[in-house]
Amino acid sequence: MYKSFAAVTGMLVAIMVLGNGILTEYIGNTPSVVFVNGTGLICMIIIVVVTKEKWQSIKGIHFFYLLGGVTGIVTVYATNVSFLALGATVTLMISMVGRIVTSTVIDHYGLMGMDKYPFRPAKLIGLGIMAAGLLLIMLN
Amino acid sequence: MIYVFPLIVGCAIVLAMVQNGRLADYIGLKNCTLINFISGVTGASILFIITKESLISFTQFGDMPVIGYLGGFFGIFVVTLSTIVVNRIPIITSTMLMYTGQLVMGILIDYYSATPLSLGKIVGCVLIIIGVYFNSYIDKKHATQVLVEQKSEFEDANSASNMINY
Repeated sequence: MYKSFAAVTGMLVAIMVLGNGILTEYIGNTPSVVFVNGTGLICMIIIVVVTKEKWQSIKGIHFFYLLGGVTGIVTVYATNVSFLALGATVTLMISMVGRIVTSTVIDHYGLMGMDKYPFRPAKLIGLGIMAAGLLLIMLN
Repeated sequence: MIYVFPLIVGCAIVLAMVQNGRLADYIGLKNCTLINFISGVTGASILFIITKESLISFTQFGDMPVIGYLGGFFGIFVVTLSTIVVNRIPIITSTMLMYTGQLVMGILIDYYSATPLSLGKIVGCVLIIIGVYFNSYIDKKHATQVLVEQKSEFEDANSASNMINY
């Protein structure tokens, strides 16, 4: 069930990327990031007010956990730099390596208080199949 | 050196999900998404002021297709859903399936803009899904093994205490 949620999220990402790409063509890079985050914030404030969700204090929470949005911006700019210098395919390939390694390490050690899913040698088979799939996608 | 940037992309995508996942544990989903966009808009505004990037062709803003305005709206669902997912299943599963979903949607968009379907991409997606399911099968197998071991230890302890009772 959560696996299908993940796939749906990806589909929404594709639509979002399409929209943001068009926006960037019209108003430029940084303004579009401001616009996207601003409109998202406005929508979210409306949702919180309408659903009467309680505002929560962020006292005592590690500062780093509050910066998810900033990490998102880092993603946007690093992608832009990489796209211009290396092209789409190389960017995608290396970023997928980054994703897989980071995910596997956090899963294995349960870093930052996440659930632990220990790495086992047999998982190399699954990772190999995924890598084959990725290669096939990038070569096509 | 330039190769650091795509690596940063990959790490940052995962890291943002983990940050939000942890934040949601403290303050709940909606507040978490809210904070995500507050930090996003703050960071972006600071960048905007520093880079002094001008608004190119701002006058044409009105001609833009509707989808261009909806990035933030879709963003709230992306952030909220990925936060739910990352706290429930392994991060590698979340990232790989998200990527597959993104690709499938990309293929659909291509298809409707009259680009021919690429068989290789479809087979690639299927392979990723097989790999993901194979590894979650391994996670499950080991999880039940641990349970069985715990159970048998429990039974050993029980029979031992029974013997003492006899």
